[in-house]
Amino acid sequence: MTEHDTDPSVEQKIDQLYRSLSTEQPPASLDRQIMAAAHRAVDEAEPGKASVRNIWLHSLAYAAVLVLAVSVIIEVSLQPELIQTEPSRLIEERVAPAAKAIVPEVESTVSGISPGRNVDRENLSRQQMKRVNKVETRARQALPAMSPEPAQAPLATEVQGYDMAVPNTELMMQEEGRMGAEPAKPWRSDPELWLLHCQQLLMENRFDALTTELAAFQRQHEQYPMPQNLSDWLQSSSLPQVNP
Amino acid sequence: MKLLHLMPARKAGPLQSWSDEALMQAYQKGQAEAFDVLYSRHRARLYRYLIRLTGHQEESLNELFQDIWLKLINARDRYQPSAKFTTYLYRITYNHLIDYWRSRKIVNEPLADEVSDTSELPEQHLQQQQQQLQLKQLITALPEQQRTAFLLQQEAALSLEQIAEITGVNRETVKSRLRYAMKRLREAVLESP
Repeated sequence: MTEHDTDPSVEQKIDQLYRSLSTEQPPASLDRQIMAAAHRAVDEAEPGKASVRNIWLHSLAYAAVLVLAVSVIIEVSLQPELIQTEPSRLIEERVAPAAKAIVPEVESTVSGISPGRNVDRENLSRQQMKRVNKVETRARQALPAMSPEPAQAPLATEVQGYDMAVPNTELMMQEEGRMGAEPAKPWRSDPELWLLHCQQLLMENRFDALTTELAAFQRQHEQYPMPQNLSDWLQSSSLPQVNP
Repeated sequence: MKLLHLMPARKAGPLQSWSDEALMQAYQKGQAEAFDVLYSRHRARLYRYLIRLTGHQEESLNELFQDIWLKLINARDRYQPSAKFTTYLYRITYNHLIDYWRSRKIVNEPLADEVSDTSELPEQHLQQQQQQLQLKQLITALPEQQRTAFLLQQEAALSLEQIAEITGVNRETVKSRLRYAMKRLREAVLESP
């Protein structure tokens, strides 16, 4: 080891010389690239920290959805008939024609059967049973869209008894009347059917309607025999009995 | 630092007083501005370290420089706060250079002498320029291991222990390499006019 090995002035001179060399710098464009990469890496690693562009896109999407929702609400509120008139349209377009189609069949079928509730099919004559089946078939064909399962539909399509068929027919006709036409009363075309209807009203405790129907019946069919239960009801009511 | 103009002014104040390790931790946690400060502190030293060690010209030098910083960015989650940041940075650099030389089958021989046109410089300035050129030549003429140790000490201001950790040798080996490197430089400096 020589004396120069530990000479601090020589080392100082080397340091000074080396420092004087230290002038090189990376270009600014390279600085920008590296720092941009560093920022990008952080943004990509944190999904929650959205970039300005993402914030704008999300805000725009939310605004669009909001405007759309508000527009739909306003549109619906300004046109209530879109919702409210749909049931009546359904009745007008489907139920009423179907009801009209089956009423004559029901009337003609029940005309030969004595009045009573829940008529047992086994007690019907062959000809009557055939007519009942025909009505069933017509009813199913007339109301194809009323039920997803037409074979089990409980409306007028199932003629299991006249007490079921008549009120449903009435209901349909009432719906038709609600649309503006004078409500038809098909049961009045036949005295048996009329009495059957009155029986139904009595069973349902619709006494006002029953009074009206019986009064009308007595006016039109003065001599027609009235079932015992209706006669009893007439006696207990204040309506004057024409046919004792 | 000249890089301050590249950084947002609102972030420069408090972060500038943070240690390298605190800045790196902040960057790990997603504070990208901490990286800007960290980068501004070490960019020039690392750049010069690469120049002296590889002797590359601007294009390939910039590529190397960028690759090293990108490695640091991508490996930020692996940084342990107990480690000194400069050690971490120069270890990445050292490993990257070894991979770089291996991939290109480059033997890091002493670099070629630079040729500088000094004919139009004043005499005093000319003398200083000649000494600088001579020192550059001496550094580049050092064996690769001595040059690495010398540059890590001079440019990165690392301790013997840190250099030993980066280069994967023990402290005494580093000390020996530095002693030989300084001896060569001293002799050359003393011989010069």
